[in-house]
Amino acid sequence: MSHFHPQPEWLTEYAAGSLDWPMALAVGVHLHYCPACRQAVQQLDAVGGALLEELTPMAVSAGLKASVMAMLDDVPVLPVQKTKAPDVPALLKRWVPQGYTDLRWRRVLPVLHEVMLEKNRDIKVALHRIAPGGKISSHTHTGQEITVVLSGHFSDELGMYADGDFILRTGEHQHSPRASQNEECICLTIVQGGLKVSGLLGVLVNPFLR
Amino acid sequence: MSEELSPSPGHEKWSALLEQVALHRDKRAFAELFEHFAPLLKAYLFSIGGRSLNDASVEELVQEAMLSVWRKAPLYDRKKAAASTWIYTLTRNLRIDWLRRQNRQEAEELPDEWEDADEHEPVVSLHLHKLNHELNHSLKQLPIDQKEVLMKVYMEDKSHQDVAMELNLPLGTVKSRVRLALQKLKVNLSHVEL
Repeated sequence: MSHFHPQPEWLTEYAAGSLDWPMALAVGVHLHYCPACRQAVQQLDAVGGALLEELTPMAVSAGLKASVMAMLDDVPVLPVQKTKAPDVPALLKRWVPQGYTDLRWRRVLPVLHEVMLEKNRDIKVALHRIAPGGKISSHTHTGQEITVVLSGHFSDELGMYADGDFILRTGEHQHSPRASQNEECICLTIVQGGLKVSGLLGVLVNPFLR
Repeated sequence: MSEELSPSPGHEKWSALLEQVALHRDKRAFAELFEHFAPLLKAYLFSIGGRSLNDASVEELVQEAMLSVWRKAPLYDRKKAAASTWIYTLTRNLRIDWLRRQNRQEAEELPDEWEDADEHEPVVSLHLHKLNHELNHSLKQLPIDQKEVLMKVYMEDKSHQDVAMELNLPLGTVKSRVRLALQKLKVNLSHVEL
């Protein structure tokens, strides 16, 4: 059971499908761990279904039904049993087919490894692994940073976080995350608009975290 | 589960048809679902698509959604969701993947991953039953300004911020209208509200 959740507006926008993809990914991963948010989204989905029925139907083109009906026999039947590695949220399976240990972790700092999932001009989606007791130098964000804990624990100036916790940091916060002493911590991190490292290591780390 | 706690009676028909499709690959049941839902999905995709979807891609997505209904019907559970809810989430997810494909110019299909993210609780709460049962009715009772913002967030692909700008309202007002509307619809967000 997580203790840090996305704000209510995010859950609503998630159910409404209006949340941008990387944020929707973060919320979806959080849902994997959080029964309370899953139940909330289930209810918010029901609102979507009811609103759908409030719309004025629009006639589809004449041939559409016939062409769909003609395709039905070619649609593969859904395999009933889904394969499931219990530890990895379904949304991350594409990048983490076997588990976190088999990934190609790239060393960013002695205590920090990274696997980049997606990167473009304004957004970076990555997995981070912090070694037991590892501390990341203090940084602030020019945009926002979302972290969802996938395994282990970490803490910063504002709290202590475990599996599924959803942490949003913006320019207001300066923080230095630290993994717990007894195990490594793996997180999903989404950074929009970059971050600025303020500590001594800043000069070294900045080119990697940008 | 007692009769009066099921999703409202109008929904029973669509749920039953979905089960026919799931159990017997019943094409006549599917045709009925198509006639009801395809025009609603077209309206939805039109409304939500804005400039990102042209007429041809709207119908392409309607087709993709209805084929998904056929393929995934075995996953549907009427105790957990009204047929319209299930079809709504399926189409919403297809659209998100579609937009993502467009942005990445990727030809290949993305795996069905959202379904798992939305995977419902094994235990269906009594609360959800009550909500499903009363939803269509309580939606009709909503004050117009609350329903308007809800429609914009759900059916026009707008964030709370977008709605605030469009209606020239403070963001806080939009948030509180959505919150009030959801409260009246008995959506329970107490664990995330301060």
